[in-house]
Amino acid sequence: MITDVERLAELTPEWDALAIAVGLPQMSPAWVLAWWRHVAPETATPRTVVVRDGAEVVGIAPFFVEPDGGGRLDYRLPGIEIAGRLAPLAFAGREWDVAEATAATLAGAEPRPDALRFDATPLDAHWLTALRDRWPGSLRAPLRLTQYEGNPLMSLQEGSFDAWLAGRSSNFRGQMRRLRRRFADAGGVSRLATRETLAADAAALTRLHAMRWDGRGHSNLVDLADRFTAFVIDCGEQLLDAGRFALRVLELDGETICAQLFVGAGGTVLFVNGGWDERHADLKPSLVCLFDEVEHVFEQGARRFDLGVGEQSYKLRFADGSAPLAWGVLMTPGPRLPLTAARTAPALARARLRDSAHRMLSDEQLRRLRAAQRKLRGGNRA
Amino acid sequence: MSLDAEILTDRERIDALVPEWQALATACGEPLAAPTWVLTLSRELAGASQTPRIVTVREGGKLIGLAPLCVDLSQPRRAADYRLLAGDMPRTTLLAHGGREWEAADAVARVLADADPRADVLALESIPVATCWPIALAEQWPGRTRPLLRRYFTMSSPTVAMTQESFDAWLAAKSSNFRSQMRRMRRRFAEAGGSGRFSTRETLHDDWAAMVQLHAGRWEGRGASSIVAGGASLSAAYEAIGHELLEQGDFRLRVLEIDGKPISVQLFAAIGSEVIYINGGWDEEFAQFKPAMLGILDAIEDAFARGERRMDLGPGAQPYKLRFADGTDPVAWWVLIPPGRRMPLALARTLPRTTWRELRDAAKRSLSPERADRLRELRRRLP
Repeated sequence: MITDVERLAELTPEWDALAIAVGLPQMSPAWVLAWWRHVAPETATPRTVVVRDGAEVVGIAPFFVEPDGGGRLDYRLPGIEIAGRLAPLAFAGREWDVAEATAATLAGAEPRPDALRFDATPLDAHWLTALRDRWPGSLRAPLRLTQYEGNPLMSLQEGSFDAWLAGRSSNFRGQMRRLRRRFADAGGVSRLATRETLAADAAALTRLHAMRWDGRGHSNLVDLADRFTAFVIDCGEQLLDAGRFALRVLELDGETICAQLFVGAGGTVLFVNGGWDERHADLKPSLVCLFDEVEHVFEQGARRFDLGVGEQSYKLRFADGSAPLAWGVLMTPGPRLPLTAARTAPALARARLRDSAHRMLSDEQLRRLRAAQRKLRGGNRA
Repeated sequence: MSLDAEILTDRERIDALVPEWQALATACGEPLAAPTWVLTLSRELAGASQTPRIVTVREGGKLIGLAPLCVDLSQPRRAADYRLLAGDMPRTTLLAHGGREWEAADAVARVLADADPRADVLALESIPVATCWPIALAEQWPGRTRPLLRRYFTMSSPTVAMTQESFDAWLAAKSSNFRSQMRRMRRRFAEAGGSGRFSTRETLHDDWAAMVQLHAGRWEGRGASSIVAGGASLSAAYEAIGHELLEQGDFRLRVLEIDGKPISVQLFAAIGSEVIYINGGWDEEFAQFKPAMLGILDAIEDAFARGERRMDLGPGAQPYKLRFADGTDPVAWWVLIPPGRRMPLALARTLPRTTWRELRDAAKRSLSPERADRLRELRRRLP
């Protein structure tokens, strides 16, 4: 187990090979180490389990802990503030071996985890089951899933941008061509950030994202503000030259009106987030930007385009599948289990309530409930 | 585009579905979810009380998902238990194109909730762990209450990744101990006059008979085997599958012979780039040649020659499988009980099965290997 960030960095080549093999850019060392430098809570310390078979690293579970957080002591995977699909890494077929070694190491870790908390972890992966089943001891670790969310994907199976476009509806093709033409007619330019423009483009991304969320609720990236900008610059500096980082920018008269961040590993490209200027809503900048990046992703020979957590309608226009994510808690057996269960109960009750509301209320009733919740939260903050 | 789901019960319509079903199973890389396996085994083996309920999910006419289920009406109090057709096979599953599982599960759940007879239980047995199907079905089951969903058993299924360019490259990447053991085994077998071959249409009948005989011999006094228990009807089903799939290479019987007499027969299924080892039998008189290992080694070499990418050695982490394996892709047993007034009854009916498995698991976790062995021995002695 590695407990300091400097030693984590020494693992970069083997760690990156795993992230590439699995196609999880958000778990790559460049991403996670940048998270440690700019986003991690002050009291957080790594609890990364490195699993070797002989000399070869076959798995990495880069957990962290906040020992003085109070309440339930959770071990978590880094990065939920920025992206989803967080999971340990292992070569295909080795997930259970890695889970067993990880569970055995974490069970003896200091401080001892009360729970492993999983945020936006892939539902069709082995990890939740494998860590639960392989947790040492005579009691099986209770696993409670609290939330599921869709994560749209593009399979890119068509092989080329033109073939992909030809397979879309004529309505989609017509709209996209019209949007591109209107943007070009207005003097718009679409480009990717370079080393020279990275800092300014990252700042524009943060600013445009904050503008989009103004008065619309809560965004982690807005909370992070300059730390997010620094994070993006850090990742860009490490991944730009390898063609694994794309910050796409749309400009009108030299002014940035839209920015979207993408990161890649092993043939998978992840759409992280973006922002756009509402004054130019008529040009539908987020659609134009994403459309341009789809073309770029095909050119790069990627095999999968992960559109990120959430089934927003603009993503669904591009997607041809979804790989849902789950949120959950694996409570570790031990003398503190009853206390852990008691501390977890409110979150489980909330999840139940949310599920029941979804099942029992109409869409309109749900919308009104959400609006009331937002008002209540706003009032509480004020 | 919205999805259309439908339940097929009629044999003619199910047969007409076969080409699309086969294409879907190939896309998913699931040999035992292919229609020939599922339909032949279910038709030969299912009792009169089990009738197919094949749920198709289409988008604009194209098949994107399929749940090959049957309903078992033999339960007491006219309970209707739905389960996967041919669910006794080592690995079964529902099918959907990559990334469409969640949507397809939504459509499947909706038609099953309205099915006639209404499902009291949906059993998903021996399905891959790394799938979202069970949770997707439970989450999207319509109605005000969520169904009960329980995973009560998981079993390791060792796998061999064939990512190297050739069999020789794969062998070169194994330990020197493994390589020399395999070469020694092959040499000793050849020196004893041994030879290996795959079944052909002409030899299939006799080879299968040898397989059943050798398999029964191996299981004698060792517990229950479904192949032994299946008798003539199961043999007929396997032979029928063999005749259908042998030539395209999706059904393989590896036969080892000494002086013309079969000493080992092993069954493999394949689709796309995936191969799965189903079962086998060998003559204990020739145990010194380690026929089970020799057969698997031959099948791996053959799979490399065909350009296949992975061999699943099937559920159960027996030491001979672990010699070859470099990973595992376990399977799990789930039960989903839809909400409704019959829910308590369904729960009571499934509880013994799920609890028994969980007790076994708890015993395995709590007891030392020696104690677990002694317990197993005691169970075998019990009438």
